[in-house]
Amino acid sequence: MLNRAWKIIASVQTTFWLLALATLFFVIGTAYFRFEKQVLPQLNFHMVQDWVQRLGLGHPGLSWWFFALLFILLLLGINTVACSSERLLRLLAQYKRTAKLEFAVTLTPTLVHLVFILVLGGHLLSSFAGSVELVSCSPGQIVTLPGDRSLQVLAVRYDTHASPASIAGKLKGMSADLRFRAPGFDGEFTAAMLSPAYRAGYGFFLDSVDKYARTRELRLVIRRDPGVRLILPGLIIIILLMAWYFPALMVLKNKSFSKEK
Amino acid sequence: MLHAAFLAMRSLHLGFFNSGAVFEGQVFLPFCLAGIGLWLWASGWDEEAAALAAAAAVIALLSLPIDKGVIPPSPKSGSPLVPLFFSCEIAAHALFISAAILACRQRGEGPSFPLAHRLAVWGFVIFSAAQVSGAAWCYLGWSVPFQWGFRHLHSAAIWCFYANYIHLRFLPWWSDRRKAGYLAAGALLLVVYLAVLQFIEAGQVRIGG
Repeated sequence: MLNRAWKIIASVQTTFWLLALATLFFVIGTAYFRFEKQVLPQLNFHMVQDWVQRLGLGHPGLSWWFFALLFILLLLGINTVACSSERLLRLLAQYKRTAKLEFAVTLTPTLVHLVFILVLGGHLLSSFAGSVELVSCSPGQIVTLPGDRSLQVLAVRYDTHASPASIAGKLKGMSADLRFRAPGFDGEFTAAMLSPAYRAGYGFFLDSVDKYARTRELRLVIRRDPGVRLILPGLIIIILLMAWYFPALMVLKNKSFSKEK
Repeated sequence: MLHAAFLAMRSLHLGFFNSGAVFEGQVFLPFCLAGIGLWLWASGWDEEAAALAAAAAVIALLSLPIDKGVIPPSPKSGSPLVPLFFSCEIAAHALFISAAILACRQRGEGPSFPLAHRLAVWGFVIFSAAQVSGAAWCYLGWSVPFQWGFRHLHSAAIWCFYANYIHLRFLPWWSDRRKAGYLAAGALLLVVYLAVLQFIEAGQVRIGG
């Protein structure tokens, strides 16, 4: 019984159905995000558990697909761990009997899947741990934050294009001089658009209120994100592994083809 | 060659080099399709190259009603991650569409299908690279590597769809003919998303056109 359950959990067939369902719920999500602009976009400025309590549970008609998606991604994570660990054990047992290139090529997909688990774990941490605060950013503003912290906006600078005439006067960049006080920290620093500052365990991200940064209205996102250290390096490792794997697989196939000849 | 010259002129339309003017779906997607077609033609796949040339022409014609103005650079677009993201994403879209066309030409049979499979696999690798650069750009600009919004959910849907395609070779009940159908469904999903995105991004300020 247990053996059969494990086989189902670790099977590629299960992966297929879970990925198909994940695709379906992402597609459903796009439809909801296309037309709903109040409740769902708040997910970006709340930890998931806070959003669920404050908004998600109160609007089941809008959030049902989100809960289904989370559940499917959780199952996909379990399936990936089971499938990859089973394959890894099988491959390690064959290590001495396999040529080095062949072993490296067969091991790579398993490594990709294990790093994918790290990335999923990073998203889990980003969504449930850490914190996110949103404050408007105008010169002279002082904001008191929970936990005996405060943020003062000392100055805001707007950099505009001087030339050519077609874009002269249009916004090129924005930055804000800030003073942040927290237990054990009191310092001044600058955060710019696309160039966040990191102080006292927090990231300070300057963001425009307008989606395309066409206006001068700014806000600051103050975020503690323990997951991003897993997500971004993990994604880069996956790309490097895939960029190596497919050409190496072709080399291996060509080798075995010429041997057969 | 004419299209390449058009893209070069477009990139200098504002009086300086603006990569954003090149890496826009409506002008870069037909270029990529034509590029893949040329590569196939040079490799001796004449019929397949002709099919892609026709697809490039159809997509170029469909793009005609879209505003041709150039989106000026904004404070959020001043990162090398931006052209990397858009170029990889559109190139991957072109590979996915090419894969679907080649796979469906002979309904998954004949020598076209292994070629279509290779295009889909490389499309997936390049699309993943786009997602990495996009995640890094999103993190710097919006504080998170993944935003809950139409654009990111659509990318996640496409990524999961083709990640699933990569796994089909382990499932014996997926014949090449069925895989061809799967690739066609992927291209359809992609084209629907690209059409919807045109409406969403219609509010962007453009210069010229």
